[in-house]
Amino acid sequence: MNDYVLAAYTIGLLLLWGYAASMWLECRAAARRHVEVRQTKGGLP
Amino acid sequence: MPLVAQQFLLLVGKDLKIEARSRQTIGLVTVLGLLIVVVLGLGLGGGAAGGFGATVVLWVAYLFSGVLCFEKTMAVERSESALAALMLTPISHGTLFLAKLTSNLALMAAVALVITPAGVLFFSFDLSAAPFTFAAVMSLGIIGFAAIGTLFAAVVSSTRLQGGLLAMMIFPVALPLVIASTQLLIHQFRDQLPVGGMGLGVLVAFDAIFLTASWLMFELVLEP
Amino acid sequence: MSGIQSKFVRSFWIVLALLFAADLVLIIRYAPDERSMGVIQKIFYLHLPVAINTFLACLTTFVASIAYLWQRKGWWDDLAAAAARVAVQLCAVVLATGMIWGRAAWGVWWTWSPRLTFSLILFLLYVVYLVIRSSVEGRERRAVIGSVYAIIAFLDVPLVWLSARLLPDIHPGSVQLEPAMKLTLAASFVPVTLLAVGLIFTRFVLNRTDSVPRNSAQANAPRDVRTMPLIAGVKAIRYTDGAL
Repeated sequence: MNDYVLAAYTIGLLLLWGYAASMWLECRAAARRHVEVRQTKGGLP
Repeated sequence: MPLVAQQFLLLVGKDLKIEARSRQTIGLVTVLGLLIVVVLGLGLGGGAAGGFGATVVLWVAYLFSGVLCFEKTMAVERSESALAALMLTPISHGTLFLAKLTSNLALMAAVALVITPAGVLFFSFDLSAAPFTFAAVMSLGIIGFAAIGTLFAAVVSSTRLQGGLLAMMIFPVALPLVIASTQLLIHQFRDQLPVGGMGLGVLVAFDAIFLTASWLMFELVLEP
Repeated sequence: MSGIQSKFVRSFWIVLALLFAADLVLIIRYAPDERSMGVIQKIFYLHLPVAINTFLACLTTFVASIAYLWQRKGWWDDLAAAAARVAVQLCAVVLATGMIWGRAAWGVWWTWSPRLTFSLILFLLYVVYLVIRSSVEGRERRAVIGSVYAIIAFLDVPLVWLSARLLPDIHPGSVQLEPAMKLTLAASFVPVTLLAVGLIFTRFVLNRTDSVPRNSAQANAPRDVRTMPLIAGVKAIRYTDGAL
C-alpha cells in the first residue's frame, strides 16, 4: 500500500471519527450537566 | 411618475446629497483603492504577468475599498436613528434596497473611474484590443459585488460586531466574480479569444441571482 | 424507551465502524489498481463519497435556513448550524485527500485547478458561516443572520463551480472505471453517508441541549440518570420543541 494512500485514509478517517469521538465526549459532559442541575435542586422538578 | 420611482429617486438623491456635502466617504474610499493599487504595483513590478496582474490588483482594490464604502453608507443610516425613521415610512424595503444599492454603485463607479486608469497605467495593461469588453466585464463584476455588499452591510451594521466581519462575509461569496472576470480578460487579451459565453454567463448569472436574492432578503436583515 | 434508544444509538455506531472496516477491506483487496495512476487512484474511494456528502450537508443547511426563516422554529436553526459544522469537517477531508492525491499524482501539494479551488472556496464559505454565528449575540438575531448568509452561500456554490471551471486544469480528464471499481465506489458511499448523517444528527442533538436554558423547568424535568449520555440530548428535543 502506497504511503500517500495510507496518509490520505489515515488523515481522512481521523478527521471524521475524531470529530465523532469529540462529540461523544461533549454528549457525556452535557448529560452530566443535566444530572448536576437536577441534583442541586434536590431531585425535584 | 409612479410612486415607487419617486420614492426611489428621493432616497438615492438623499444619499448622494449627503455624500456631496461631506465628501468623506468618497475621499477615503478612493484614496484607499489608489493606495492598494500603488502598493501592489510597487511590490509586483510593473509588468506583472504581462500586464494582466492589473485585473486582479484592481479587484483587490475594489474589494477592500468597496467594503469600506458599504460600511460607511450603512453607518450613515445608523446615525440619529435615520434608518428607524425610514423603516416607519410606507416605503417598501425592496425600494430601500434598490436605492441603497444604486447610491453604493454610484460611489463605486466614481472610485472605479479613478483607480482603474491608475491600475491600467501602473501595469502597462494594453487595453486597445478590446476596451469595451474590459469595461463591461469589470462593470458586471462591480454590480454583483455591490448587490451582496449592500445586503451584508445591512446585516453587519445592525449588530455590534468587530471590524473585518463584512470583508469576511463578502470575499468568499464574491470570488466567482473575481475568477470569472480575471479568466475572461486573460483569455481575451493574452490568448486573443473573444469573450466566451461561459465566463460572461457566470457574471450575468451572478448579478441576476444576487440582485434578486438580496432584494428579497433585505427586509429580513433590516433592523433599526 | 430510553433503553431502546440508547441501544439503537450504540449499535448504530458499532455497525458503522464495522461497515467502514468492511469497506476498507474491499478497497484494499477487491478494487484493482488503475491503469495509469496505479494504487494512488484508491484515494478516490474516500474522496468522492465525502465530497458528495459535503454537498448534501451544505444543501441541508440551505433547506434548514429557508425553513427557519419561514417557520421561525429554533430547531431549524440548530439543524442548519449542525449541518454546516459537519460540512466544514467533511470539506476538510476533501481538501486533505485532494491535496495528497495531487501530490502523489502530479508532484505538487497545491494547484489552482478547478476541483481544488472549488473545495477551498466551499470550505471558506462555510467556515465564515460558523464564525459569523459565533460573533452575533442574541439567539434570534444569530439565527436570522446565519440563515440569510447560508442561503446566499449556497446560491453561490454553483457559481463557484462554474467560475472554477474557467481555471486551467491539471487533471488529464475523466477516469475510466472498471466494474469492480464501480462496485467498490458504490459500496463506499454507504458507510460515508451514514457517518455524515450520524454526525449531523449528533451535532444537532448537542445544539438542542445547549438551547435549553440551564435552570428552567424544562431542564429540570425528571429524566433517567442511567441513560446513555446521547439520550439526554434526544430527550431534550422533545422538551424544547417549539421553543427557540
